[in-house]
Amino acid sequence: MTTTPPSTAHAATRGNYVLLRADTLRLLLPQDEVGDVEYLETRPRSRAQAGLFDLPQGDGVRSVAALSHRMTLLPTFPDDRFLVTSLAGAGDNIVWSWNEVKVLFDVTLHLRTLPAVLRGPDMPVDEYVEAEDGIAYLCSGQRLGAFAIARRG
Amino acid sequence: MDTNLPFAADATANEGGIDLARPGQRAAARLIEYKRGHHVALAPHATIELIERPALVEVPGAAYYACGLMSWQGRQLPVVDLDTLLRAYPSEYRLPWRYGLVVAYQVAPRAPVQHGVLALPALPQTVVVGDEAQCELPTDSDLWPLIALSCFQHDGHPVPIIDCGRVFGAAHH
Repeated sequence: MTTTPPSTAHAATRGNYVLLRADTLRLLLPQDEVGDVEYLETRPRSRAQAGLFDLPQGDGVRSVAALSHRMTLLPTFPDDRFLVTSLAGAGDNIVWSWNEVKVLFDVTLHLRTLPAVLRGPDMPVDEYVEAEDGIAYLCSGQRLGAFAIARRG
Repeated sequence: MDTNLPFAADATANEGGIDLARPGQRAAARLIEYKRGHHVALAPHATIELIERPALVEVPGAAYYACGLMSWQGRQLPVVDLDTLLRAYPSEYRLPWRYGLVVAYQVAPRAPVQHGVLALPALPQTVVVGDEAQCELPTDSDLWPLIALSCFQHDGHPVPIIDCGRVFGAAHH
């Protein structure tokens, strides 16, 4: 009989990544897809368009999105989100709010493929890494934006 | 509670399990209630460990029947809700999960043994069944012929014997 292997394939990739946390959802995106981190100095305001919030900026207004732990857009802006970044491919006029943003320089990620049985038809993630504080999913701005915006209420 | 279930380390999900095709044979089966009054059976050697109230990590955009990932012995195992899988949509009336049953499976003979987790509302039981109890598969899900090896009657109800390799080997869309 064949010995028991890990249930998922392993691969390693090296580079600069950014760890983004929204509630318990942890995402890893290539650093070149994540814009500068800004602190939220004022609370975003709700608007009629569900899942997006208005953030006053100078004379204008920017759109802010807040992800749930399922990577869907929250209908109410959470009190504990105080960081925002833009994400390449995830909406030109949207910034995304986070509990935590951490830049990982020249890091080697040991990627594990998600088990086939879990795959949904338009799942935005394929791989994950295991860190001390939990699982982080490797994602891209384009897949994140497409998935989350398609699920706003 | 973390109950270790008996497991034959060199057995697989399909070998030496419940085989109702042999006349006169009686064999043990792990009886699993996946929704109130409805059961499936597994070969006892395919059930590895029972975890009470397992900690799960959800996977964004996962299949409708996927509960997430569960950490077990240094790896992450897929967790599946059998009731939701069989009904083909999530139900707000399903029983809450209380246990995670770690199962072993192979997707083909001599393939590596892999593990998955069934999210269960109740503790499994062990029963002994004979070939005289063999019956037709139930017709309440199109999935039964795809995941079940056989079926037997228990307390007047059909109990499909499922192959975990067919449950966990691929996505069900």
